[in-house]
Amino acid sequence: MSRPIRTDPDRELVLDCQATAHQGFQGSFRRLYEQYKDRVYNVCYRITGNPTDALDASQETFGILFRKLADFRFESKFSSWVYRIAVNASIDLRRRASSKNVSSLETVQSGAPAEGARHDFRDEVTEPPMRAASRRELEDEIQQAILRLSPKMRSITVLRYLENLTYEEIAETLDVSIGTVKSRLSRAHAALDRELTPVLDRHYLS
Amino acid sequence: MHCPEFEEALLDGARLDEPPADLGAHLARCAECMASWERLRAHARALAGVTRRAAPWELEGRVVAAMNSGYRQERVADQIRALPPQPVPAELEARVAFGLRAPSVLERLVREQIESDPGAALTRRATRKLRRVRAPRELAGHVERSLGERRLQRRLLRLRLVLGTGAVLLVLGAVWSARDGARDASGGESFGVTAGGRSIPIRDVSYANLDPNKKRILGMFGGFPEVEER
Repeated sequence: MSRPIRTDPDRELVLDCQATAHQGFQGSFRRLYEQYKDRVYNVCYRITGNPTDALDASQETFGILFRKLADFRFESKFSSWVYRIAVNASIDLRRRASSKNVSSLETVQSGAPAEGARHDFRDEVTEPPMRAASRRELEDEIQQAILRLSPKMRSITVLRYLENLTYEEIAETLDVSIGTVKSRLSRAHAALDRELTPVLDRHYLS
Repeated sequence: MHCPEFEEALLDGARLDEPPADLGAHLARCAECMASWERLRAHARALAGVTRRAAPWELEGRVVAAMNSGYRQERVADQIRALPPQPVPAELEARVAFGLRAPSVLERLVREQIESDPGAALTRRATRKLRRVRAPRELAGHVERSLGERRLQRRLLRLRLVLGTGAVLLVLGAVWSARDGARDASGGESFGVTAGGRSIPIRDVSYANLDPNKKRILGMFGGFPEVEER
């Protein structure tokens, strides 16, 4: 982990950002933000489970990113570093919210996100309404199943199956060994089998 | 429970899109692992098929605001760091050398407080938090009755005093008059003697019946007493 990664695809961009840090958001940081905003927001959304907390966690992620960017020395892949900040910010925020017991409970429990918070990449005009409704229902149930996992298993599931990271990238992101990634994924599989099988059965049978 | 080769193949980074080459033969002969594989593949597909969300438009504004706020904090931190170091006061060393002690007046005050009433502070602390209770309605009646009884008792006492004093006076009057009656009956006289130029009255004593010794004593004061009739 201490070996510098020379083939980081974001290397040039990060170096630009470090050189133009004094320009703030208007410098190269805007390009970096554009490149990562959706990935960061999706990870935050899947871990926190609601758009409000996801927005807060994303803001926190980019704030930390900007403050610590000057110290980044490419000892890990830049994207892994960004994911790590996003995962930690989301877990911290969710922990704080659950301790205060004010985390948008209605959206978590009903699975209905706040109005205007859903920004779908799909062109919904081309999707029949019934299918769109069914898909949304399934996605909400999948989201609830993800939220029932422990934070560690939730993070690993999101990174593996939603962000499609490799084991090495997950290990780097979560700062654990590959063995730990494997054992956590094994437990995540068992938990997903328990949580998702009834959901999928119900959905496809109906 | 899955077969070991199934677990190993899964945990070796399989993407679950299609079975790894070395697992195909095993899945063909193991129905349980095949079912597990199908389930896991369905889960992976369901998770991968979840709609990706675009970051909301307000995120950019919030990130810019957070960055500006960070800038301000950094500037303040820079200004603080740029402040010249303050010289250490000369008396600090002396104070450290002699040890910093609490002023003696504090010790005295604490001692006085403890000695004067050690339980007072404790009691105050304990009772301050007690809930205030309201006086019951019948208390007024009790107080009124109690005051009425006391007033009556006071009046009775006063009456007893008056009656008692009257009775005593009556008894004294009766005794007085009884003694007067007895003196009249015995024919006693009232005399007075003059001793040293002063006239000393002698009442209720009949000189004729006086004890001879007393007559002699009376004679010692200025010769024979000058007896005068009252």
